[in-house]
Amino acid sequence: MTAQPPRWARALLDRFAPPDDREFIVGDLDDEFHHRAGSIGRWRASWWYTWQVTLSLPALMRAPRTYAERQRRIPPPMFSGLRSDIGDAIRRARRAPLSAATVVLISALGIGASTAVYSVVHGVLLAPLPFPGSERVVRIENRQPLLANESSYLPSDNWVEFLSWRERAKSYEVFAGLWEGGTTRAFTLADETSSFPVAIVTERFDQLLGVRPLLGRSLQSEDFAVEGSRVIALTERFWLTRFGGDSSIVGRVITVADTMRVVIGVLSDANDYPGPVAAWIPLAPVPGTSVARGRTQMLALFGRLRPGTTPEQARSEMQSLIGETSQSELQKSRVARVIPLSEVLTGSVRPVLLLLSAVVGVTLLVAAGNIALLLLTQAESRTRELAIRLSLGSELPRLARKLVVESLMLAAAGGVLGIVIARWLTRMMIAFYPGRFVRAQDVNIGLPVVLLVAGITIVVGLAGAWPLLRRLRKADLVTGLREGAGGESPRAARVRGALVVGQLAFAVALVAGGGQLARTFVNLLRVNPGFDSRGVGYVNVSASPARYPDRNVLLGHLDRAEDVVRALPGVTSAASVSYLPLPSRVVGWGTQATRPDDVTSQEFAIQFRQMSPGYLSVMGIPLLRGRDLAATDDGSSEPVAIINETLAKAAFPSVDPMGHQIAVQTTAYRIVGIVGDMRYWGLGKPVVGEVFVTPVQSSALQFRSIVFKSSADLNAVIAAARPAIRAADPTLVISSAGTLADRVEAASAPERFRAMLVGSLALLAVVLAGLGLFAVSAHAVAKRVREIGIRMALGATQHRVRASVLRDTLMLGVSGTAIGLGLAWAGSQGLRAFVPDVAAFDVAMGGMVAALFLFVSLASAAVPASAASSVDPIVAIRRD
Amino acid sequence: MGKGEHLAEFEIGVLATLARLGGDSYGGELRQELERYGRRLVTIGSIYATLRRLEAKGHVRFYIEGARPVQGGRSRKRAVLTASGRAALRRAASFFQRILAGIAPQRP
Repeated sequence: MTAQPPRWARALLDRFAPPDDREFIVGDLDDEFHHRAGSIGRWRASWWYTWQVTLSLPALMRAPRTYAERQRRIPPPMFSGLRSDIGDAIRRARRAPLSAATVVLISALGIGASTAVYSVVHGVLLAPLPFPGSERVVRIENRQPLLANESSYLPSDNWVEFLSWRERAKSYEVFAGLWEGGTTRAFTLADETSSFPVAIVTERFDQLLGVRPLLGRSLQSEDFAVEGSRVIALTERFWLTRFGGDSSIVGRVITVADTMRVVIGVLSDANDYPGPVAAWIPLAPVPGTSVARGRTQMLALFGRLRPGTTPEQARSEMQSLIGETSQSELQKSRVARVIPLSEVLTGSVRPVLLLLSAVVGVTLLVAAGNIALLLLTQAESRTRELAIRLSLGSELPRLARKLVVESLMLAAAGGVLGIVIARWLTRMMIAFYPGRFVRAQDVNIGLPVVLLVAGITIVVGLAGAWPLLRRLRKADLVTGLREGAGGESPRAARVRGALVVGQLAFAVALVAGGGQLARTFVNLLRVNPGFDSRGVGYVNVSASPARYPDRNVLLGHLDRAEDVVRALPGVTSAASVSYLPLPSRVVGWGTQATRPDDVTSQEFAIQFRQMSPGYLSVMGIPLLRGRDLAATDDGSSEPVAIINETLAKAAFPSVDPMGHQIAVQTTAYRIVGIVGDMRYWGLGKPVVGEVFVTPVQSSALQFRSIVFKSSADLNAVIAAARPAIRAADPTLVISSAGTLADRVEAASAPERFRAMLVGSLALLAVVLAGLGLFAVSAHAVAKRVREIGIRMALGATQHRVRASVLRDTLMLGVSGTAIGLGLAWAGSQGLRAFVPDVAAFDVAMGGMVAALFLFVSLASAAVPASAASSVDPIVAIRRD
Repeated sequence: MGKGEHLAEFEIGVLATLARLGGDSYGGELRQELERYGRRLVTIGSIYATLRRLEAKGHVRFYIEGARPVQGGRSRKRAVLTASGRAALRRAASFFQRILAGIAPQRP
């Protein structure tokens, strides 16, 4: 008898094999069974057969049973029906335009704001500078800790020190310097003299910034020797605008600061550092310049680290170099710092940007909360439609895909609109930023940001579809259908409530932050700058020392300019000073003073000012003791000086300074007056010691700020001053002019900018939160119409219905505000990390914020409450 | 080329075996051949399930061979390798050849 395969295995095969293939599967297996039975024996063949059947069962059972099933198994090509889904989505949006528009608008605002901020952050803080080796370029500072200001330089022998450091510093491939003081020069072009900023550099500085010659050559070593230094290299932009891109410019001789210089080449623009300069000039110890005398107070040091050297290693090397070359205790106290160039460029902007990122993130959360609320509401109202579709045979995957498409399309519309908004917002931010927006040209809506936005869009779209997708399960649909009849599921109400409370909390925190920044700004406005800026204007003039090597002649020319201004119609008084307070960038001469009559005294860090008599009264600086400087304090009389209160207290703690001497730069001055402190470096910055002398009794600076007081329109006076000065003395250059009030305002501009930005975002958040509260309130009322109708029919008054709606909404509002105040208090500590001098979040501010949100809650509830109270009970009860 | 067009390992095995058998074979023969060359257990169920998938992808088509009046001459459902199947197989071969280049196989 021929062996037969085990019956039960056969039975399993019969049962589970797909009907179409059953006979063939069985046949194949039987064939092999018989074959094996013949060769290895029946038992082993049976064992093999059993094994085969058992292991085949999963594959067999998974096979589709009918033709119809098999057809469906074939995955439909992805895009069939997609077009109809898109069409449906558009139709549906058109039928409910308000709801769709709201979602799109809110997404657009959220996406737009965050895209704008993040592309700025990316371009300014994250993207590397656009030249090779940029990440190794550093600025080397030797900061004198006594100097309580931004200036980091000390006078005397820095040039010698620089040469010595350059030779001995091993950490750098390139070590070079940039002169940072007085870097505008008068260019005489076509018989007209105008001032332009220039970069005065030491050897190889251009290499640090990746600047290349477009025409001719760049500065080379022979240009830094005294004989060869009468050269100049123009920058591309200057060459294009002032010389019309003339290709024969190389070799031409132009007059700069009354010096003839040969143009050796045109260099590509180095946009970010040292800023938009017109030309590059070599720094060389030419006789007559301060460099030749060893003085380079304004030399900023830069280097490119060798690969593998860390900034910390370079810093400690510099610190020991300082120790080796210092010649006094004050000099030895200098602290070395090595700062990457990118940080130098963006350091001031970094805290603002980071703060903004955080704030925008929170606003985005609030916006997302709103969208979630809206979509949840939509989801509920579509439950019935979904249930019907499913029961009519729509397949789950297709339905899910349809919902996702709808949601994605709304999100995509929001994303596209958001990018438009972002572009506009970015431009606004850069335009309104006080001061120069560093690396503005590196900010663009670039690929990384677009990808980010696309990602956010997709996430938003999918998140939007989520509530609907969840409901696609049959069980949820049934409950959903039942829900539609009346009342609402407590779970949905809880989710909604949580969303709106969260929104409110974040909005409260934002408003509190904005309030703190606003208060900081207002506080700054209240700071007394130490002078009276009302009715005071200034004109900055300079003469070239090359033209007037005799300092008395130089001073005479500058004095004459002052007389011209004094004589202008409308001017009541005029005077001058070397450096006006509240400069927009680092200028000023930090130096040290000593008390020659006290051998034990130390050196004091001071700012040294040259002023003419009458400056104090023009500026409204209070003279506390003694007298102002006078015309009689000249070259033939005893050197005298006026000091400010801070220096008086610091240098003469136990004696009366009047009549004592103070020595600055080898000259001993007798103190004849004490004036009130001025906030020189900034309204929020500490006061520094100042010493005022007349120009005649100190070294002659070739520039001056002429200040004048007038009751007339200051800009008109300035407009008259320019030609008047030029007519009196065409060799003088007027570099800038303005009103002191503008300067004071500019000093608080960053704080104003910050407050405005955060304030706008906070306002947006409040509006969104209010909308959210309104939506929740209105929805709750709509759902409970029937219940309200019954209550009114049973005797509840309109007033009570209204009150109950108000109360419910207020509950949400109060919880949100309470949580928000807690967040705000915690956040205010964090805010201090970004804005160290921020005003505190105190009870008064908390009270105001709470009051604001109380009002917002009541306002949001007003309409739904009145709608609820006007429900007609009969209509309501009859309603399904 | 979409994700659905990449062949699974077993599908490649079946196609390759089918090709080796002259592009025309039936379930039982495929199973034995693949088991012998692949040196691992192959179940008849997985062969038929895979053949069905390959047919859906167009790499294989079936025809029923009529019964022949000899021993073992029952009617069989035979699979034929199509041009698309051949192409897919070649694609898979070059793919694995490239990515497995330099990887030494396990000792038998």
